[in-house]
Amino acid sequence: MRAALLIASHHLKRVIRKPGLLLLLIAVPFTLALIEYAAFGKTVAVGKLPPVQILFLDEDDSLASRFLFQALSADQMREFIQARSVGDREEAKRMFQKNQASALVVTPAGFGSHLLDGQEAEIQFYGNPVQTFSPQIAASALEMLVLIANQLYGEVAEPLKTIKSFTEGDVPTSEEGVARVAVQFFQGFQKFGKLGSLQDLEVKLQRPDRSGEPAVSGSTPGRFFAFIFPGLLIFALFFISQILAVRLLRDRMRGLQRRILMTRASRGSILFGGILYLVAALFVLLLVVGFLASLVFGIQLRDPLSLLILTLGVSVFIAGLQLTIIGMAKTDRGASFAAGVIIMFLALLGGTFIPAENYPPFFQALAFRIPNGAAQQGIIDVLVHHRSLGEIGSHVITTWIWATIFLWTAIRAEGRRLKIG
Amino acid sequence: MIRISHLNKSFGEVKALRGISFHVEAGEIYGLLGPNGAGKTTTIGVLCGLVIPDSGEAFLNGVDVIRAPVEARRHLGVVPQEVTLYKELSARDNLGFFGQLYGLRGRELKARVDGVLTRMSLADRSREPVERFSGGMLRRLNIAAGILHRPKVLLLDEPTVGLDPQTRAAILDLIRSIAKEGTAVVYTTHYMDEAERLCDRIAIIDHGAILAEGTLAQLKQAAGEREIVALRGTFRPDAGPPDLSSLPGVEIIKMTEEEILFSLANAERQVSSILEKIGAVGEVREVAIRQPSLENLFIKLTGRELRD
Repeated sequence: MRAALLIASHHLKRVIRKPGLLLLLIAVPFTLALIEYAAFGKTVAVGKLPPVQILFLDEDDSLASRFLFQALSADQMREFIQARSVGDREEAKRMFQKNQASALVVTPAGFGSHLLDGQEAEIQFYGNPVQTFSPQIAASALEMLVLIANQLYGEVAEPLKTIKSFTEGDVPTSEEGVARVAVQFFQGFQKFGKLGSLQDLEVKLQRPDRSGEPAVSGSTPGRFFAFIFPGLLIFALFFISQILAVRLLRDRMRGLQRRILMTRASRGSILFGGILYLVAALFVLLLVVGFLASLVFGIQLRDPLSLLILTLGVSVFIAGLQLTIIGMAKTDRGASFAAGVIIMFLALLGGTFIPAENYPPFFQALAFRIPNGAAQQGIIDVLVHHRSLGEIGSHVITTWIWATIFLWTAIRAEGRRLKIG
Repeated sequence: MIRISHLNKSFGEVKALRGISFHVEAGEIYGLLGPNGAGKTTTIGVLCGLVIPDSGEAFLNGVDVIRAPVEARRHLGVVPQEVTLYKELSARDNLGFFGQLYGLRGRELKARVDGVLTRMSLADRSREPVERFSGGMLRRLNIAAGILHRPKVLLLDEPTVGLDPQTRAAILDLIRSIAKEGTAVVYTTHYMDEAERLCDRIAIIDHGAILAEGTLAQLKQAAGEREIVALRGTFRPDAGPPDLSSLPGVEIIKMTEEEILFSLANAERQVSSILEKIGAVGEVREVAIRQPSLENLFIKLTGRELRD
């Protein structure tokens, strides 16, 4: 064990003595994150996303509430959103948990009558807390609709009041009265249609109090980076690990490993020294870079235990993967090529650039079953969605299952290499 | 100090060692002389515990290398043929690492590192990354890493390959001084002159077997007073060997399309007769006569020159 520690610390010392390329690679996730923020951070849009799924719960069942649902389902909106009706809040909750919808819009009972009374009418909006961008888009679409509806309402408030007085029997219905309402509606729509711009209007969207709920992710730079940075950091770590592992392979090719074998160090201590070195280097780098990112980007580091378990898991997995590759490769070029292909495959599948929670269901499920995707989502869940260790249990387990598998394959592959004669 | 007996090792169809046996005493320099692929490095691999022989025994300072390799390596220092040092680290850091792997710690380690750096004339450059060192300095440091823990047995695998004569001479002096301190040294080389100058005893090894062993005087005596005549040109081995029945004592060692080697006494007197006979099997462009030497013995035993 002492020899393994000595060998691990020796390799770490070498990295510290010549850190040039390593420092350059550490800068990569920061640079990519800034680029992504510059491109998408303010608009919170990522290229052409699939239509946002909005659930609509009509608890009022009035003319006005049905009008709102039809407006959300209008052809012009279909490019951005797809609205579907749900029977109750439980159904909506289940769909949120399955990540099948981005937002829920509720027209509570009394919505229509409040409008007719000229009182403030409330529309309730709930973003799905496991999603980041899509609830923002849904909220924007709803705000736009309400903006238009409020303006129209301002113009037709008078005839609506007259209709209410007719229906409640305060005023007897007469041909003259109906004709006056028709004229008022006509004038109101005509006035509304002539408006060139809605920019000067002040419109207030009524929403339920959500102080107890986490705000929608991506709404501040810190949240944006907390969402985007974990994937980029793991991506950079893949390449850093490749460089560190190839150093070990070059040591073997240059006879340095054989020379260590000629000392009192056993094969086991050389094997575990190499594993310890790579895991420690990656784990420390993850922690240091993560801490730096929290300072630079204002990411709130929550739940340190969950983060430590996930980062250690992903460090063990990446170390195991790289040691397996160099254990099987004959040359450093071969190892670099194999590692490069595997890294790109895992990065794309795991949601490095667009976190997998925004993927379509099939690819999302796939991403959450591969180690980097699971670890990345686990970290995002902790940092962005404020989930607990118990709630991210499946991601933690997936990460550690892969870590254990690759640790075992690394021991097998490297162990075979160390049996020289 | 070193005792090897009847070592056999095969890698698939290739027999790398065929019954190798030798022993080396404390303070003795034992040369393993042979061409590439002769079995020198495999023998060293067995002594280091890295190669498990199919049969036979190997002991270092009384410890069974095959059964207790880690314990045996406590007594062993190895200087590999390649410069195996961490180039981004300084000489001091390199030695510190290898010293710790041999169990040295604290003040003792520092004292040993200082001592060996001074002995190798590297003290003034000890804190520089070794990637800035010359070839000779690297070789000296490579040796320093092998002797830092004062091993009872030192294995040197062609430590002077590619060095200039002055640096080679310095390294040979250094090895002599290490042996004088009581270390048993095994020195593999394919430089004949090095073996002649340095080794107390020499084993000629080829195809995994020791062909001859002894002191330099014993080996030369074994070679007899015979010289080697080397004819170079264009020959037809398929036409069969030339008829040398009228030249008693002349023996063909080797015949290829480019070269024929003869072993004989009084070569200068007989060379013209040989040339007459050789006309039937080819055309001679160059004639060389070699005096009795270790090289002649090597050629006589192996049928090839050491550089082959």
